[in-house]
Parts: sequence; C-alpha cells; structure tokens
Amino acid sequence: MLAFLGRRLGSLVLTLFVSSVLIFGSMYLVPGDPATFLAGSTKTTPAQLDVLRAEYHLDDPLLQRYTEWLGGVLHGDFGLSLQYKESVQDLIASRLPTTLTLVVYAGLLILVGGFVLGLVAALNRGLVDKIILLAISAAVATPVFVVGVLLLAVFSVGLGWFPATGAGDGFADRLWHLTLPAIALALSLIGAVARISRSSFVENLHRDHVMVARGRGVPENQVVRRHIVRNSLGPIATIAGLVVAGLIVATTIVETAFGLNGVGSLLQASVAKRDFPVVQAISLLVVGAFLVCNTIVDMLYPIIDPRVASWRKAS
Amino acid sequence: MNITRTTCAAVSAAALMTLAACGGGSSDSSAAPKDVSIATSVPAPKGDVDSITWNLPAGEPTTLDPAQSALDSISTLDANLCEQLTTFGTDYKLQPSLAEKVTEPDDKTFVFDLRSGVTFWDGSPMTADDVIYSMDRVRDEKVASAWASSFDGVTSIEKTGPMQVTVTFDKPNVLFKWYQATPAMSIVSKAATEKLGKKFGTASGGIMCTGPYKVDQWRSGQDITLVRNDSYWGAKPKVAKARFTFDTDTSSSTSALLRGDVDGQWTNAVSSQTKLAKSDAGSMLYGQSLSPVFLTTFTQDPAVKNPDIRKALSMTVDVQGIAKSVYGGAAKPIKKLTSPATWGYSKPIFQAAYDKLPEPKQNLAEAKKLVAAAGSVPPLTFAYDNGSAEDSKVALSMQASAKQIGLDIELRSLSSTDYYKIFSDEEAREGLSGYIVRGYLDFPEPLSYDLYATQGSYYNYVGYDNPEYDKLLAEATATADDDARATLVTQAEALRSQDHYVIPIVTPYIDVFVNKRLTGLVPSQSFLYTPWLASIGSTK
Repeated sequence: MLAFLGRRLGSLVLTLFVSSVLIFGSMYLVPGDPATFLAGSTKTTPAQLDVLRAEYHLDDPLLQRYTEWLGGVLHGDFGLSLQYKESVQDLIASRLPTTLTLVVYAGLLILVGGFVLGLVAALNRGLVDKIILLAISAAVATPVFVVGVLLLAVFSVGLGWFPATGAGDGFADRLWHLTLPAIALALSLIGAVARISRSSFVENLHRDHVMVARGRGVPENQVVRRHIVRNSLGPIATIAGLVVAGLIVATTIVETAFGLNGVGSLLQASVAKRDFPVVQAISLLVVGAFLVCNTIVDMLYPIIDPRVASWRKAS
Repeated sequence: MNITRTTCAAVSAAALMTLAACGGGSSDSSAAPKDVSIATSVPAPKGDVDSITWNLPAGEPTTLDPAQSALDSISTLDANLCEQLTTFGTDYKLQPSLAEKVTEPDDKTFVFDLRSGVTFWDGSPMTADDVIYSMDRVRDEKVASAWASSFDGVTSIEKTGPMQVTVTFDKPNVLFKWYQATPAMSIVSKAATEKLGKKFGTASGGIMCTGPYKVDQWRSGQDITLVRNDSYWGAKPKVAKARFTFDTDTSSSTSALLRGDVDGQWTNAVSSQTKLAKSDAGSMLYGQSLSPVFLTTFTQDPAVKNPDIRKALSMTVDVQGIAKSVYGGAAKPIKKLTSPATWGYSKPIFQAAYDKLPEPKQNLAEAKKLVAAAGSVPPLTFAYDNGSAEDSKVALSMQASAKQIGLDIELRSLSSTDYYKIFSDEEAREGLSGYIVRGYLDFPEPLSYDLYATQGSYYNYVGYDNPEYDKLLAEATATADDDARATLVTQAEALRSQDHYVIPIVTPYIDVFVNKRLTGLVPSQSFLYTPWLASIGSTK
C-alpha cells in the first residue's frame, strides 16, 4: 500500500509539474500585450507602457520568468494580480470559502441524489424508472445558466424563499444563500451520476450471486446492500470523483449567474482581463484538485472492492 | 448570462469611453420601458438610514486609487470618498469644495485658496502640500493615471501661501477649470499615500481622503463597506453605512433589486428596466447624460475613404428605430456627438447651430443613389463590443439597413477586452472600417470632446484631417469668453458634420433604480465625480 501511495504521489507531482509548464507557456500564446491591459485603455504613452513592463517583468525571457514563477509557487507565492495589484494567493484565499462550500454542498447533492435516484430507478423498473430517466435527461440537457434563471425567478423573486445574490455571512446564512446555486450546479451532474449508478445497479441486479442469494432466502434489503450496491460502487466512485473535481470548473458559470464572488467568477474575470498570474494560479489549483480527487478514488477502490487490493499486491 | 459584462465598463478611459448601460442580458428589446421621463428633481429625504446595500454592475473595483478612477466601479465609490478642489452640482454647475475660492489672475494662472479646517479620515489636516502632492502624483508617468493629460501644458504647481496653491500654464487653458472637479484633482493624504506605497488603493492598503464617507472594510471578493465620516467639514449625510456588492449578472442583480436585498444600482441593463419600472419595490429614474453613441469610421480605410459612402452610411442608420427598440425609449436621437445636455454655457449659440443641422432621419433612397454613383464598394468591416446588448443590436440594425442600399457590412463582434484595445492599440484597428462607440464627456464642454479629432490628439487615430477644424479649435481653447468660444466650437463642429467621419446615433439616458424606502437621488452622470451617497435618505 505504501509503495502504491508513493507511486501515486510521485506521478501527482510529475503531472503537476508538466501542467505548470503547459499553463505558464500557454499564457504566451494569447495574443495581446499584457501591458496594454495593465494600463486599461486609458491614454497611455509608450513610456508609461515601458514602466509597466519593467515593473511586472513582462520583457524578461520566458525561461527566466517561468523559473522565477515556479520558485515563487514552491514558496506559496503566486505573484501579484495585474488588475488588483494584490497577492494572488490572498485574492484566491478570500474567495475560496464560498467556492469550497458551494462545491461541497453541490457535491453532496450530486452524490446522494444521483445514488438514490439510480437505485430507485434500478429497483423499480417500469413507470418509476421511466419517469426518473426522463427527468434525468431533462436535467442533463438544460444548461446550468438556464436552470439558474429559472430557480431565481421561482424561488427567489416569485416565492421569496431564497436570496438572489451574495454568499452570506456565517454558516447558516451561507447555506441559505448557496442553496439555489448548489441546486443549479448539481442538477445536470445528478443526472450523470444517476445514470451511471442506475446502469451499474441494473447490471448487478441479475448477476448469478444475486440470484443465488435471493434463492437462499436472504432478505431483500440485505441483497441490495451487500450484493447489488457494494458490487456497483466501483464505476460510481469513478464518475463521482470526476464529477466532484469538475465542479470547481463548473462553478465559473454558477457563481457568475448568482452574483457570487468565488474562485470560479474570479477565474472568468481574470481570463477576460488577461490577468495572467491569477489564471495561472487557479488553473494549477484546478489541476491539483482533479489529481487529488482521482487519487482519493483510487485509494478508495481497495476498500470498496477487496479484490482490487489483492491485484495491486500481486502486480 | 453575459460573461463579458464584468469587463464592460472596466477599461474605460477618462475620455472617449463607455459610461453606462454596460447592460447585458439577451432579452427581447420589446420588453423595454415605455414611458421614459427625465427626473430632474425627487422628493427630499426625511430621515436617517442605518444601512443600505448598493450593487456595482461593473463588478469589484480593481483599486480605490482616485488617480485610476476612470472606471465605473471605482468612480462610483471614489465619488463619495475623495474630494476635488471644486465639485459638480447635478446640473453640472461648478461649486466650491476643497478649494474655497478659485481665482484666475490671468488666463494662464489658477490660484486655489484651500478650505481650512478640513481633515483626512485619520484626523490629520489637509494642507497645500497634500494638494501639490496629489496633482504631481496624477502627472507621474509611473502612476499611469488616465487623468494625466488634464495637466498638459502645466509649467508650475507651487505653494504660494500656507493654504494656497498656484498652477500656471504655458498658454491659456479653458478646460482646466472643469478638470478641477474631476478625479484629476482628487486630494489624497501625502503622508498616508507615501506610507502605503504600492499598497495604496488596494483591498489590504486602502486610501486616505477627506470625503463624507470613509472605507470601513473591503473584503476582497465579497463587498466594500463605507461608513459616514463623522468629522466631515460639510453637511452630515443621512445614510450611516453603505455596503457595495459586485454582482455583474443581470438576472441575479435584478432579482436582488426586486426583492429589496439590494437597495439600488446605477446603469441597469435595458432588458431589466421594464421589470424594475413596473415593480413596487422602488423606482426607475432617468437623467440626461453627456454620452453619445456613434459610429466612427477610420478614414484611412479605402472602403470608407469616399466621403459619399460615409454620407450614405449616415443616411442609412435607423436612429429613430434604434432609440425606440434597442434602448426602449431610454435614449434620444442626436444630430451631433455633443448633444444638448453637453452645452454647459452659451446655450442659445449652440442651439442655433444645432437647429441648422439636418434631422437624423433614415433616407434609404438618397443613400442608395450615392452608393450607386460610387461604383463598386468593397465590404465594410465594423467592430462592436459584444459585452453590450445595445451595441450588438445597433450593429445588427446598421448592417440590415446598409444591405438595402447595396452596401455590405461585415460585423466584427469583439469581447469587451478586445474591443477596448481599439482605443489604445494600432494592431486592433487593422482591417476595420470603423466601430461603434459609446463615448462620454466628463463635463459639459463640447470643446473637450471635439479636440479628439484634431491632429496630434491621441484619439485621432481615425485619421480626421481638417486644418481649418484644427485652427478653429486651437483658437477656442485659448478663448476665455464663453460666447466667443461657443461660436468657434459650433463652426468647427459644422465643418466636421459635413465630412461624416463620425455618424451620431443616440444619446442614452443615465439610469438608476432606488428602493422605495430611499429618496433624494437625482439621476445625473455627475454621480461618477460627486458624493451622490450623501444625498440619499429615508422617505419617512
């Protein structure tokens, strides 16, 4: 297990390093002089632009800038935001609580909702299954921002149950503010998880060992729990890992739609303004989150399915 | 859902840029407000208010440094925080502020007698040194202030008394008196600014000014809270605390206004204005703006080099239709860029000249003849900012009309960031015949705007070249007498109108939504430079 963990960590660091090169390099493929963005479109003289370029080291060679940046990153310093002139890590840190709460909230809705819907559909083939499948298709097909507008119109303006904007202060207030955004974020992804869960459950439903267990008179809820659910968890965990990691990217749209100032909306605004240091830091953060989620899923496999552990030992 | 909304007003210059209505949303323009009337007065506020919440639709300010205050979000806040030497009324009349008295012993010299007893928020007194420091700071190349050009031609800025500052120019300058009321002359504390260094203006550093409100807290990414400055030299404002949010999304910010979670917002999207106007949550108010929307052509482009083609274009644009359907009536067709609201003096002279200009009306038959006579015309390429729902619709309307007279127009839809580069980056102008501009004047002096079309002006990359025009405006700049200056300005404008290098379309109104519990706010574009928050109070 330790060797496995070591290998995973090694590849995680390597992937992060390669990503950092790609992320940093890709910024140079974007057309346009960052100095003109720094100056806005205000009346800037060439001399003013030179001052800005020097101040932000925009004219230094690429390799030099990369190593300086990487050196900073390793010390937890992602540089200064071009537009806010604040340290990038401070900007991200102040927005992270909103985004993390939103991701955890939506993640729980997705996992619990997807799992339950998949199970109910798989165990009730027929009308219930059809209704759930239809609802899932509708949820998956509706763009997140449309869901956002609908939720706002009905539950915020119409019924007045939830606020329309802002992230709230304190835990309870925050949950209240983030409920609609979390639902908007979760809806299409619940569909994805529910679909995979359902087919995974259905696949196991008619397996020999399930039949045998039933034939032996094992109570139905035990059959479902021990034989169907347990054996279906592998694919569900995989999709869940991907979905939760992808949530951070999905927050970009939801945060903007609900007037939340989180990491997602910061990324969106920074891309638009060519605020390179912020885009680089958030991109790296997203890659890191993906890798960590996948690693966690990988490590969960042996617990879900002991056979995986024995394969790993053997190999 | 308009991703580029945030950037819309974010990169505007002090001069030629967007002010308002960076409205996003894509809703049908038929749902726009029907009865748009200008509110020149509102009921006076009766009582104090503990706290209000206000939204900045252009997003979080990137700084609070007044030297950078050419952007909507920054100016909306800074107007309440930092004071200038003089200030605008809602009617743009100049009033004393940090300078108690301004005298002009000759037409090249301005003497400022500073108000005594004014303190910064930290309690330190405002002195002549702070004033000189603030002016020099705006002129400093390293600060890269959008207002630096206000001081073009300055020969000295000196302390001529304990509370007196004298500014001299190399030649007469009639614009300088207006700049005194803009962020070009926002006074910051020398000691605090120097101490904060690079942190000045940022969320962690803050600023130090003298205004009726001070920054209580800036939670990066969350909100900015202003509190009343209790040691303020002027009248005590009624609102004790104002929290500013940064929601850039039309749908959620409108919902928040309708629910009363947010008390007000300047520059609402046209698509939201009907909903807000119909709501009993508050009132939608409109005011005249100094802002023109126009099509400008790059005369270097062979496609529009022929003045007849430009003339044909000017007759093609459906200005009445645009005012009505794109702006839902919250805009007026204009005959020239400097519309009636921009005449801060000598109105009869400006009015007489304006009356002589042809009515802005579509005349497709005549335009078609001009195009036919011109022979084969290559397709024209016009750019617009797709972050503005209105600009996008204006562009499409223009394209459709031009087709009817036999002109092909290709539209280049640009993100706000790319669009604003047209103003500052030659490369961004390559291959363009022109673009749709939402400009604005900082104060009601048409001359300031007309100067952009003279040779040597930074903004004359459109290639307007008319020595007679330049001569008239150079003379106007040095003419202190209002009527004489107005005459020169109108003569120059008449010349330019004939050349059709810019095609005026409409002037949109400035708008504000205010919750019904509040009153006192007269909508005026001067909100960018005057402490508008201090006029708000409770209706009860």
